[in-house]
Amino acid sequence: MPKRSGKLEVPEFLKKFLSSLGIKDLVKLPERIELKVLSDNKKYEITNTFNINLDALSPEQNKAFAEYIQGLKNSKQDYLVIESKSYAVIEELYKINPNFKAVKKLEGALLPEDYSALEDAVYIKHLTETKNFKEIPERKRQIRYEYGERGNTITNLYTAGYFQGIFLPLYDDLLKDPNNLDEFRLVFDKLIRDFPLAIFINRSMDLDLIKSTIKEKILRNQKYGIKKLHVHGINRQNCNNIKEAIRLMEEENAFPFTKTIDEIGDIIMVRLDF
Amino acid sequence: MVLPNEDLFKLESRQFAYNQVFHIPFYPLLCIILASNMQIITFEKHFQDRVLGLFDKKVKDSVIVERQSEEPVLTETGKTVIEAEFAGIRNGSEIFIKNDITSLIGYAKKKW
Repeated sequence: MPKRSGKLEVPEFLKKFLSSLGIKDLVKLPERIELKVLSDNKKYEITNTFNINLDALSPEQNKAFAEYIQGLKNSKQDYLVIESKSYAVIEELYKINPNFKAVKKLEGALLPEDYSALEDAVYIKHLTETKNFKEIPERKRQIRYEYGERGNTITNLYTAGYFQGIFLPLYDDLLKDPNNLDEFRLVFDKLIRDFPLAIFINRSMDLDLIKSTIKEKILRNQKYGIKKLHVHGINRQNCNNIKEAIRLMEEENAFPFTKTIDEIGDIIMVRLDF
Repeated sequence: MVLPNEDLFKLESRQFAYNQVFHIPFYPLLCIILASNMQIITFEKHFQDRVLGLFDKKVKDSVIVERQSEEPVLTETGKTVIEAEFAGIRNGSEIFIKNDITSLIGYAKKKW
C-alpha cells in the first residue's frame, strides 16, 4: 500500500462500537482493522492492527459493529474490505512496483490480454525469487484459465528471463523507428506461438513426455539451424524429472548433445547444445 | 489528505532535496504528508460470510448476490463473483474485487 501514517482519527460512526467494547479513550485508530479469530476467545486486541473477533462479540456488540459498517458505507471515507491473504498480495505488489514499470513500455505494443498476462507473470516471478513456491501452481492455474496456453507461455518466458533478455531489447531496437511497431508485434506473436530457445516442464509431464517434448524441439530447431535449447523447470519434482529425462536421453544417445546444468534451489535450467 | 501517487512522488522528491540542503530529518514530515484516510478492514476467510452479510450480500449457487434481489454482484469489469473467488469490496458503489492476480494487480494499479 502507499506509505501511511499508521493511525487514523476515530470516526464518529465507530465510537458506538468502541463504547460497546468498553473502549472510551481511543483517540487514534490503527490504520487497519482485522477481523480474526483470537486466542482465548478474546473479543479484541489492539496491536499495530485493531483485531476484532466477531465470534466472541455479544449480539449487541455485533449489532454495533454492523452499524459501524453501515456508517462507513454511508460516509465519504475511502474504504477497502478485503480478505487477509489478498491484502498481503496487494502489499507485495506495491513493493515490486518497479518490476511492473520495467515492462510498462510494452503496454501499447502487446495485445491487452498479453500485457495483462505479462503483468501477472511479474508477480509469479516475484514468487519464485522469494521462494514462495506454494502459491505458484494456483496462480499459474488462474493465468491459464484467464489467458489460455498463450498466457502460460508468456508467464514462463518472463519468469525465465526471456523478456529482459530478448523481448525488451528487441522492442528497444525495433522501436527506434516507431513505424516498426507492427513488425515487433509480428515477431512477438511468432515467438510466443513457438519459442525455439526454450521449453518449460510442468508437473503434469511424466518422463516419457519430457523426453519426447525435448526431442521434438531439438529436431525442429535443427531444421532451422538453431543449435541450442534451454529446458526450464521450477520445483523439486520438475528439477529431478528434467535431470532424469536428460540422463535417459544421454543413455539412448539418439540425439547427441552436450548439457550444462544451472540449478539454484528448486529452479533448474539445462542448456543443451547439439 | 489523499494525494495521487505522482504528486506524492514529487512531494517526496522535493522534501528529500530540501533535507539534503537544510539537514532536516526527512521521514517525520514525510509521514504527515503521506497520511491517508482510507479505512482498511481485512478479514480471515472464516469471516467471509459475515462480511458479505454486513454488506447485505449472500451466496446463492456459489455466486455472490444481493441479499434481497438476488442479483449477482459484479466486479469493475462486469464479471460475477464466485464465492471462492471473492477477495473484497471497496467503496465506489461497492466495487467487488476477485482474488485472482489480474484483479489484485488491477486494484493495486489504481494506487501506484
